[in-house]
Amino acid sequence: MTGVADPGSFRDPAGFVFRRDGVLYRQVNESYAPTFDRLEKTGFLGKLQGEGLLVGHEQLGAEHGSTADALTVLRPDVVPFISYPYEWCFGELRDAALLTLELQRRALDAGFILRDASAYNVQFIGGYPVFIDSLSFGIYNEGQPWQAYGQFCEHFLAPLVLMAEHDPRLAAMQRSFSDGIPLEIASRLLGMKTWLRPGLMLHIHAHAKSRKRFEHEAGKQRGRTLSLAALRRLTDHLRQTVEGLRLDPAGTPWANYETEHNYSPDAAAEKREAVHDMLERLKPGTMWDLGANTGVFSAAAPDGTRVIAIDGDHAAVERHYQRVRQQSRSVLPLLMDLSNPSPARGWAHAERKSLAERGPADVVLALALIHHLVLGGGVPLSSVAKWLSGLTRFAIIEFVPPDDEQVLRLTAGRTEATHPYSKPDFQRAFEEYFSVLETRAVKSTGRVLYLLEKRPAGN
Amino acid sequence: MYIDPGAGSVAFQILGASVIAALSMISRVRVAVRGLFDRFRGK
Repeated sequence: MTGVADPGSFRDPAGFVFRRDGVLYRQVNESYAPTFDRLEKTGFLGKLQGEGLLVGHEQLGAEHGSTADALTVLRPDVVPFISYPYEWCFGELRDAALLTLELQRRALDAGFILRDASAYNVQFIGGYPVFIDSLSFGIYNEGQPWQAYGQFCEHFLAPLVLMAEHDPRLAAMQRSFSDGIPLEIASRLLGMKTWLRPGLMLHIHAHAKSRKRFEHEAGKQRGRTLSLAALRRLTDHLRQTVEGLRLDPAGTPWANYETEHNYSPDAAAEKREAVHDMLERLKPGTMWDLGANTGVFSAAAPDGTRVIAIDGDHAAVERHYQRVRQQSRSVLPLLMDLSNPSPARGWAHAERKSLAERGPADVVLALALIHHLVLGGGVPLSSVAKWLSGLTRFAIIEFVPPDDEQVLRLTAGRTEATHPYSKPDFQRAFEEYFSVLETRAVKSTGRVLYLLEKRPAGN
Repeated sequence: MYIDPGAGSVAFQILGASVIAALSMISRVRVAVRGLFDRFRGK
């Protein structure tokens, strides 16, 4: 074998993803030849790529294969940052679900069918969901049921319904269930009123009961048929059900932080200008905005910067995503508790990368974040500084003093001592890993912006 | 990629598709009846 197989790409006998000299390739195996030939002849993949629904690729030929059974090799367009469904807000997961159903509809029109409906087949580029698995299409045979129906309901519908109808924080369950949230769990968690909604009654509750009823009778279902018209109705009904789900991005203090923070208008403007100046000097290719809230400062990045904007508040991330969609900007809002960032997951701890493994970024922006990690999350300053130094070369950090209203609110009612947290403590901890390039006080707030550069190892 | 379709999901989508067809029919009948009713009332 030449090239290194991607550790997250091993389940599909039709092909796999590998890297050679740092370049990503997708090998198509001989076993997929009949389907791939038809996909080529009909131009189906090209049409989807032309509309931005499927990631583009260049076809290189079998001579570039990694193993002897290569039919051909594709070089897919680069996805700037790989994110995972358990890091998406409601709107992102909903848009990924609708994309998957749109591809199923188009596939059926063209004589194909989606072989799987994994949420991990979708990535976000420039604010829009894009399908990345070109080998997910199979040839449709009249009468065949959709083998990915159950997977669609568990990867998309169950988490969306739980977020919309129960609690948006249940999105975190997707981290634990690598192949979607089991329908019987979703059904049990949902309230009785969801039985009255036809889409949820059918695709979640009755579907869960059917799975339970037939769990030991797999062989008996072979040969069951479903007409193409019925399959189209099923797909369309799933789309209507997903479109009918709504989540109001409100009700958390952080979603309104943009308008309810404790800065004067002058101080807020000055802070924006200072951050913008620092970013203009650095001209980063990639920026991670940690604790991004609704993305006010993500927008300060110079044109051409790819921004990953992370926050732990679902309503703030949802608002940010809706704004990004309207503006078609190269910003990817993600939902993540930074005191418990995404770990490596899946088989052999290698299928899904940790947040740190997906870096480093050119710049990390951490405005009014550190006090949350230290005083809210109980992480010592030295540990925060060390972690950030593993994520980036440059960092722009806002230090919020201990007498700031936000810090006092965070520590109100505390009877036990916290980790040391003062400006000298902050500087001591960060200067172990970073050099201070510049400091700027934020007018009449006591807050300070630090522009830091990571020290070379051993200094 | 290969996935386990789940016997219950295969069985259910066949039943579910029939229910969806019935719901769709009921919906169309409701719309038609409402239309007739509105016309009768002169709306």
